[in-house]
Amino acid sequence: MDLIRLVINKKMDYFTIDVDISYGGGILVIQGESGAGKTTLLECIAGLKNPDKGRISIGDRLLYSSEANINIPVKERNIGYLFQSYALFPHMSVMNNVLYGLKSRKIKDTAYAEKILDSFGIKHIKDKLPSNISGGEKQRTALARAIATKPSLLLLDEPFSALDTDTKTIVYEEFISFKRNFNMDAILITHDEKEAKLLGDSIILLKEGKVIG
Amino acid sequence: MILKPVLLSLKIASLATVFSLIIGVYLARVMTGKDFWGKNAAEVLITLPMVLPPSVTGYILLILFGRRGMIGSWLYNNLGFSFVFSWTGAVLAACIVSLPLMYQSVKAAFINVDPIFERAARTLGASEGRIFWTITLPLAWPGIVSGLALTFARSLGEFGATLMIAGNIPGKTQTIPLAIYFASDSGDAVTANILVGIMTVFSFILIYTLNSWLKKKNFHNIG
Repeated sequence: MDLIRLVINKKMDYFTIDVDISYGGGILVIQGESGAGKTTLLECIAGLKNPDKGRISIGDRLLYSSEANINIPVKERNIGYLFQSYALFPHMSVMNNVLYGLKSRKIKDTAYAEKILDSFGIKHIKDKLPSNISGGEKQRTALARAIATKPSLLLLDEPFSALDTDTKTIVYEEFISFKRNFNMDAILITHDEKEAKLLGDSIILLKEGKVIG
Repeated sequence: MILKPVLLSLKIASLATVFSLIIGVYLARVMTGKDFWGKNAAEVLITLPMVLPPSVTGYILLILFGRRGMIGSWLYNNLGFSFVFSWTGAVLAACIVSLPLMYQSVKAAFINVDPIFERAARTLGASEGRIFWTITLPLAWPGIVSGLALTFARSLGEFGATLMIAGNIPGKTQTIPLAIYFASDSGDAVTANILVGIMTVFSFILIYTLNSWLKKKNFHNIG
């Protein structure tokens, strides 16, 4: 497991995000109320936003350093991102959503994509459009799409908040078995303490951009 | 007397629509991107042919593309090509006059694409070009189709600027609107009536079909 180091400083409207986080892999949960700067933090790691100052590295791979003037573009960071609203491409089937990242890397391995769909239990809906599948299926499709490219880190932005309680219970179990099977390093953000305790290998609390626990 | 202007109009409007599409999509992409110096002025310039009287647009085109014009003289001296009194001039006029409609439709369609899809594509390793062709363009498609229909209809109806630059040469540059004007002027009510009928029915069917399609696509009507 690679050591992940996140030193991020970014001025927001009402506070400044100022964190220095290191962790040795597994699932790191960043817990905090809405407006604590959690999503911005993830966006900085993914490269969707830039910190004002800082240094982001995964193992010996430096993704961002304000000092060394390094800023690897989003598409080259190889960081998976699961958006809160899933952001499934509405005009593409479940299969084509999952294939999208592979095709972007000029890999057209349909058999591999089918295997992933199978392991997420969504093979039977592979030809359906995202508008025709359930909330839980959307969530699984988005997760399958994000991990299909074998990212070195997976970022999960409140991935369960849009689901109803019954679905949540099932999806939590699925996520735990996913964690076991794929053994992937991930950062998950949530406002839900129960969820943090259930899913996280380590937990940090964020308030107004600062780590408070 | 009837068929020639109809075929010529269809040819001119089709070509003008293709050029408007290419230029309109390119301009909309540039204008919805990063800010640059003079962006607001450029925006006004693109939209100007929509509000200017077509005779003014036609006059400006003559100044620019006439044989002694800034661009026209170069084209004539180097390539032996001229827009003046030629059906290509009618394509140019129709393209410039209808471009604002294409541009506005495509721009609105691009703005309506939720940026989260482009962000998601970026995290999946897609290049900006791939994002444009596989995400932005398909999601903006209904708006672009609206633009195509409006541009085609406007090109078909173009009169003033076409008359200024291409003239009214039967069989060569005489489009439906010009043929109607000159038929009516010379008292040929039969020709004028038939052409007016064709024009009105065609435009009605075009907009009606488009609206039904957009409704099915859950998109806003254009008229």
